[in-house]
This record gives sequence, C-alpha cells and structure tokens, in this order.
Amino acid sequence: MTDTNCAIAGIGETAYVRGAGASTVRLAAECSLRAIRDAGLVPADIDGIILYWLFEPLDAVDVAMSLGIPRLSWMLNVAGGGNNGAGVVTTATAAINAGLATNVLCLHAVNRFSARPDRSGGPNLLAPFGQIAAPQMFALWAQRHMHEYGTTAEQLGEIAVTFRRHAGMNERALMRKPITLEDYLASPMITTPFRLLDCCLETDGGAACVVTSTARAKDLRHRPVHILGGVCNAWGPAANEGRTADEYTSLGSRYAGPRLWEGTGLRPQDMDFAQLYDCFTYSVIAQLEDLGFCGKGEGGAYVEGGRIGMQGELPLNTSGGHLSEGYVRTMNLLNEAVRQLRRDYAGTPRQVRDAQLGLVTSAPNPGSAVILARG
Amino acid sequence: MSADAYALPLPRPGPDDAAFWAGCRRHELLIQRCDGCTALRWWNAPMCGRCNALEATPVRASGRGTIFSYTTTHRAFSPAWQGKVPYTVVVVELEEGPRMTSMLVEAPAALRIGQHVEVVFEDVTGEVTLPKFRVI
Repeated sequence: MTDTNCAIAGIGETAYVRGAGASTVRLAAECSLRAIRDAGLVPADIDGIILYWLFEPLDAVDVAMSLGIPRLSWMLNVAGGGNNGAGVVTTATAAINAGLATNVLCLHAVNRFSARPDRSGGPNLLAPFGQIAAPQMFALWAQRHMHEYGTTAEQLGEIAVTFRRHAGMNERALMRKPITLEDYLASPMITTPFRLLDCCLETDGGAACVVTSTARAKDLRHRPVHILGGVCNAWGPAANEGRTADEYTSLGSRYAGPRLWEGTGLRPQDMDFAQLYDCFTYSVIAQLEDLGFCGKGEGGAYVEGGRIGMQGELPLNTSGGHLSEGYVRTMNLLNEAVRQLRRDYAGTPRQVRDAQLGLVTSAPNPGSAVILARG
Repeated sequence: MSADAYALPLPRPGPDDAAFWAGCRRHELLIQRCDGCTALRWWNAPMCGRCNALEATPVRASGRGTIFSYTTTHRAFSPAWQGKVPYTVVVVELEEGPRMTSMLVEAPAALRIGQHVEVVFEDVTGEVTLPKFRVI
C-alpha cells in the first residue's frame, strides 16, 4: 500500500451561518487560525497555503497578511468550486513531498448565502435558455438517471432524511430539525426532480486544515490523520461531456475512483465511512456507483434500508453533510472525517464504530478524493 | 419586441459561436462540421477533439431531435426569471448526433425523455434569435 507520507495535523472552521456579516477574507482567516491552533502550531509555522474560490475571489496573500504569517515558500489560488476540496489537500501532499513547503494550510471560505452570485448573465449556450444555476445541471443528470435505472424520489429522499438525522447530533449543523420522508416529498419543487430538500444549504463560513509530513505530525498536538492517497481533479467524458447514458449519469468520481483504489491498494469495502460531496442528493448516488460501492444504476437501491446511517454498513456524511451541516464545498466534510478518525466523538452516537479508514470526495466533474486513516 | 423590453440573459457572441447566432437570426440551426475529419459537433469547442483541426464549417441541422434529459424549473434562480417559471430546460439530442441545451416553448403535461422535438425560432430582440424547442 502506498502512502503520501503526509497527514492532517489540525482542522478548524467558522460557525456555519446564513448572514455572517463578515468578509470572505475574515471567514478565511478565522477558520485558518483555528486549524493552525488545533494542530498546536502558530501562524509563523505555516509556509504554504493553497485555497480555492468560486464567485467570491480570495487570495492567499490576504489570508497570510491577516494571520501575520511572515513569509511563505509556496502558495496557490485555485479558481473553481466543489471539485477542488479533496484536490487541494492532495496537491498539498505533493507540494510537501516535492520540498516546496512543510506545513501547508488548505482552506475554502464563502459568503454563499450573503453574497448571492450574479446570475444576470452566463454562458452563451446556456443562460439564454434559463439554465443558470447548479441545481438545474444536476437535475438534468438526475432525471436521466431516474429514466435509465428507475431511481426514485423516495431513494433521493432517504439520503436527505438520513443526513438530517446525522445533523441532529451536530451542534455545528445549520439544519438540525429531523425530517421524515413525507416532509421530503412535501417540500417545494425547485427544478424537477429536485425538491428543496434535495439541495444543499447556501452557507456563509470557512473551513481549513493543516497538512504536514507524517513525521512532523507525530510531534504535534493531535494524533495525526494520515492521507493514504488522493486524486486532484480527475476528469473524463462524464456528466455534460458524457455521450452514453452511462457516462451522462456519472461524475468525475468515475475517473477518481480507479486511481484512488489502485494507488492505495484499498477497496470500497475497506472504508469505515465516507463523506461524499452532497451538493444534491443525487450526487451521492452517482458517486456510490462511480466509486464501486455498488454497480452502475444500483445507487438508488444501495442507499435504502439504513445502509448509509450511523449503524449501517457504510455511514455517509456523518455531520449532516452539505445537505444539512453546511456547504463549504468539501472542506467541512473533510473536517468531519478527521474528527471521526481522531475519535473526537468517542462514547457518543456520533462516533463511527472502530473508525480506521474514511473517504472524502469532491464533485462534480472533474472529481477529487482522499482516503484518510487513523494514525 | 425591443431590446429594452427583453430582460432575460442574451448571448454575447464571440469568435467561436458568432456563426451559430447569425444562423439563428436567419432561422437556421447550425452545427459544426470539422474540416479535417467531417465529425459533427456542437459549439463548445474551437478545435476538433478527434483530429485537432481548427477549421470547421457550419452546416444546417434539421432542427429535429429527441429529449435526452429535462428539468422543469419552478423556483427562479435570478430575478429576471421570476415571471417565467415554471419553464423547462431540455438537453436535445439532435438527429445529426450532437446534443444541445435549450428550453421548451411550452411543456406538455406529460413530458418524458425520448419525446420528439423540433426547433422553434424566437426573435427576442432586434439582434437576437433564440432556438427553442417544442414537443411534436
């Protein structure tokens, strides 16, 4: 089994709210400071920063200035959204192994609720026809998945209901009130087949982690969480680019999955839990198939019967995920995975039993992923 | 309809899609035929992904196809679309092969994937014509 020889040494986040009343840079600085302190470090120990931004520009220089980091040997501002979360963590391990930096801060921060993106324009070949937002894009893929494989609204609902139940145990979660399948089915239709409860939460907040070498991580405050392997933005003809129905109903995980399993020598059934990029309920189903947890077209049936709950065969999105905890595009999923592997919730129903290995993904296409292990 | 009255997003044609929008003005639905390998494609790429030729010739498509996928949007995602919901975005697989995104001029009560559609040209401003579709 290969290993990146890197680990996550610290994690941090802001509160996840709707109406932060704070600049995106402030959210970024706040979550970063918490991650640095969680690792038992101070800002001056950070010599690398990698971040990604979408809609609200963010620059690592501003984050470094805010934190009072005196100098950086490496930084990267990645333009782009959800697919980059696990990708920046993967890239941090590569930078560390290449000797470009030693302690790398990975972060994302958004005023996604307060600073609504401008949708008055858009791509020439989409916006004039009213396709202006992500829910419609995923809805088109989901509709085709339902047509091809018989995936049902109730199966999408099972995901929403399960993740909300997980969020009910999470004091950080934006939405904690339990919902039933009936609540799901009665929630307003946004864009068919997606109801309100199929969609993640527009959130203001930031989340960050500190990646360092496994050797250095051993001397830090927490038991390290090893990064066994990662994939940064694997891409192929899936989703919009997919020509066959099979490809059209896949995401970048179709390409990230094989790399991840081959690279680590691990298999889907080795995972004790997964935090899958749940911008919409449907993305969970597509990724379960792409990553080999089940066969193509079987994702809907896979999520039934409690399999993805805390006591199930594969607990998913144990913090409530993007659907119920908050939407900081993977980085909050990543922090939850670290907490599970550190067993921060030991002795409570939130703790995945005997958590040793966990998967965190980013979507849509391209797709990124990391496999984390208890140190 | 005057440009002032039309408040929805309009295309800003560039080098890669100017011919497409000019075709729409003439009520012709154009796709691209690669000058190198004759493969047909939609307007998303300035180069042929099969043979890497840069040159392509616009050719007229029949305007007929089938619904590959669709979503009926009930909640407007920007103020401009507020008065337009519900409307249906469709991915149409053209008879010639390429797929394009458009919208239905009117969605039938029972809409399903695989239904046959044909293009309808809407002159929305003095300069812009949008190719929409109707179920046939």
